Amino acid sequence: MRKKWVNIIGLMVLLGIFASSVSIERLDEVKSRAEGSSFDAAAYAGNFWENELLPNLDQAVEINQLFKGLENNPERTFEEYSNALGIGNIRFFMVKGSGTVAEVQDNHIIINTKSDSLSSKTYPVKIATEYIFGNAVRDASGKISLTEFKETMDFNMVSAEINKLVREGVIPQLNGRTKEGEIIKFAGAIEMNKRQVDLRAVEIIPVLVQYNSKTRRNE
Amino acid sequence: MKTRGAVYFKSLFVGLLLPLIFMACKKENDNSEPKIAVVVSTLNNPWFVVLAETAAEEARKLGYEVNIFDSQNNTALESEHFENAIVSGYDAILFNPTDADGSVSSVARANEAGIPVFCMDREVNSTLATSQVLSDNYAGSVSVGKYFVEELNKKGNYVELLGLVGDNNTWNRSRGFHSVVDHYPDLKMVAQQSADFDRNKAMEVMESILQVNKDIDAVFCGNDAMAMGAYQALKSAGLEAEVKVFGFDGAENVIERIQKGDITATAMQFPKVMAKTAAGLAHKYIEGQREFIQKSPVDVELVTKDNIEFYAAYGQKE
Repeated sequence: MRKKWVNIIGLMVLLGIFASSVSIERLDEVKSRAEGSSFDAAAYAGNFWENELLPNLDQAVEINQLFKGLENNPERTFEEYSNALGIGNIRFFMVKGSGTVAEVQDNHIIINTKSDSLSSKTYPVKIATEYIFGNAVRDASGKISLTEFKETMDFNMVSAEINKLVREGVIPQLNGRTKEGEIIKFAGAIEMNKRQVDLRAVEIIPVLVQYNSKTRRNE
Repeated sequence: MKTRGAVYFKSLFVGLLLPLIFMACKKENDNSEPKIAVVVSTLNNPWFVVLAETAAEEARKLGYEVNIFDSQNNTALESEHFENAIVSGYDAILFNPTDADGSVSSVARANEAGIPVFCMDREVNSTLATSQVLSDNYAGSVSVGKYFVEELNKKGNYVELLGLVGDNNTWNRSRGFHSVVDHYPDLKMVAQQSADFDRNKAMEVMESILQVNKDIDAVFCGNDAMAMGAYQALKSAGLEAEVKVFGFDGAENVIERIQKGDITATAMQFPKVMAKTAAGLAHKYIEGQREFIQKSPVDVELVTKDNIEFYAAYGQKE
C-alpha cells in the first residue's frame, strides 16, 4: 500500500517537472519573436501622421468631384487622383467632403454628402468606425514608398500603426457621439478596385472629422 | 630535335589554335538563342504550374529558349537546377524559391556567375536577387481577415492551417490575418497547425483536429489546396454546412466552390501577372537595363460570392 503511494507521488512529481519544463505557444508568436525587428513602426507612423498626412489633407480630392470623375471618365480619374504601390487593380484615394449624418450603424456612419456645382448627383458615403484595417491611409497619400524599407514586414507594420492612430485618435470622436442630422466635415482614405467600381459602396477610413458646432450645441 | 619539334607544335597549338577554337566556340554561343531557366518550387500544385508555364510562355514570346525545372519543394534539388543553369550558360533565371532562407545560397551562386535572378511569388531573404515580384500576401490576408470577422459576426471558434513554415508567404498571410482577427477577443483560435500547403496533409490535419474538437465555426487556410483538404475533412465529418472555409490563391476548384457556396472566400493572387512581369524584367536585364526595384508587390484581391463574377481561376475574368 505504501509502495503504491510512493509510486503515485513520484509520478505526480515527474508530471509536475514535465509540465513546468514544457510551454505551449502559438507558432506565429514564436516566429514573430524570432524575427524581432529594430524598426520603430509606431514612431514612423506618428511622424508620417503629423508631418506628411495632416498638413496635406487640403490636397485631397473633394468626394463629389471624385464621384463625377469616376462616372464620366474613370480611367483618367484613377490616373489623376489615385495612388498605389502594387501592380494590379487596387487603388487608393485621399478624399475630403462634408454632409449630414443620415444614419449611425454598428460599423459605419452614413453621410449624405453635400451637392456642389460640379456634380448634380451625390451618393451617401460610409465612414468606417469599426473595421480600420488595410493600407488605405498609408498608400492613398502617395507619400510613403516601399523602397524606403529594408523589410516588407516593416512596411506592413507602418499600416498597422497608422490604423491604430485612426482607431485611437479619430474613431472615439465618432463612436457613441454622432447623432443623425449633424453636419460633419471629413477627410480620409478610400480603397477602390478599378474593375469593381461601385459608388454606392464607398467606405472612407477617416483621418479627420469635424462637427459643425451649431448642430452639436445640444450635446 | 624530336623534342624541340614537339615543343614548337605545342606552342603553335596553345598560341594559335586554342584561341581560334575558343573564338569559334564563342561565336557559336553568340549565335545561339539566349536562354532563360524557370526554376519552380513544385509542379505538384496547379497554381505553380500556371506560374511556371506562363513565365516560360512569356519568355518564349520575347525570343528566348526556355526550360522549366521542378524543385519538388526540395532545396537540394533546387540547388542542382541552379548548378545546371550556371554551367549551361543560361542568361537569366525566373525563380520561384522553395525556402526564403534555404534558397539564398542558390541565388548567391547565380549572382557570382553573373546570372540575374528574378523571384516570382515567393521571396528570398536576400538582396542578391535582381528583383522580386511578389504577391502582397499581407494585404490580401488583411482583406480575408476583415471578411472573416464580418462573416463570423465577431465571435466563434476557428482553426488556422499554416503553409510551409520556412516560406515567408506562410507568415505574411498568417500575420495579415491575425492583424485583424486578434482585435476580436470572442474569436478564439482552437488550433493552429502546419499542413505544408498540401491538400492531403490538410485533410489529415483537419481530421485530427475534428477528432478532438468539433465545436468549430471556421477554418482559415494559408492556401487553396489546404482549403480543399479542410473542406473534404469537414464534409466527411458532416460539418461542411456549419463550418466556413477561407482559402488563399484563387485556384480553379476553390473558385468553383465559392460559386456553389461551399467555400466562403479566397484571396486571388495573380500568378500570370507575376510571371509575365518577371519575364519582362529578365528581358530588360538581358537588353542592358541594370537598375531594378528590389521588390514589387502585386495586388491580392478578396473573392467572395458577392464579386465572384469578376474572377476566373488564377486571375480576373477576361
